[in-house]
Amino acid sequence: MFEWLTLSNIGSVASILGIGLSIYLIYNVREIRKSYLFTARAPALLKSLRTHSSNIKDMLKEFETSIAEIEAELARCSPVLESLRTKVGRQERKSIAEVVQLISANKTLSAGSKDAVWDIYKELLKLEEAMINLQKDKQWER
Amino acid sequence: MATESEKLIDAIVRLIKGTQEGKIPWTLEKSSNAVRYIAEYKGRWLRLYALEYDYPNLEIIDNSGTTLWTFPQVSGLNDLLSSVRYQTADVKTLLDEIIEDDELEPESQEMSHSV
Repeated sequence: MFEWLTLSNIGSVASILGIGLSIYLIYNVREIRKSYLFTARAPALLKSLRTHSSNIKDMLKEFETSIAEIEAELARCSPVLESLRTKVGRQERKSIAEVVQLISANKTLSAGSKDAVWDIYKELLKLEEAMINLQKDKQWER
Repeated sequence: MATESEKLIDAIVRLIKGTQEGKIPWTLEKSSNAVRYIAEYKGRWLRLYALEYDYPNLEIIDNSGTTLWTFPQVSGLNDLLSSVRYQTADVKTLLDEIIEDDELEPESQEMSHSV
């Protein structure tokens, strides 16, 4: 047992532990950075998302005559969602990616796309709710 | 599987859609401290109101107006309130009337340039 305990072996084990610790620290620093960025930017991004989804809801009143405006409003949602995506955890990233995908699939709307826009609006509200809850959780992490 | 808040949002979006499409008619109920809106949905009564500087409240009420249940605060309630206000104020008709009102037609270019 003690034969194995040479300076060289201790050095090897310490190196391996060091690599593990470094990876753990890099991961944690990244998470702290993301958390900090989310806390700083989430209020403005959520406000922007709120405005866009509310506009979409209003335009749905006159869907047939507002198709171009809705397309533009949906296009404005995408960069906001992309920005949020880089500041959240894996689970939230997945939810955001799903909404982004839904928007991408409906880039070009037609007269029959009204229900699809209602679905996007609903998913935006769900995402907004998830982000509000995440924001509340983050307040306890500080 | 949908969470409780996701189910609530689904329901609120359906109420917004029904309101905007005129399938759920809301009526005004004036009270001392807030404007309240009431609608009947499949034999049940819903009441929506917002006190000043407060989030909207959506309630299920009985025939005498007693609150049976209040919806939790979730995204979409503000949008529902704005859709209900738009419907009860009959904004669409007013806008159409203003646009079609010949008396409000701006003077023609020819007239405005004449000296």
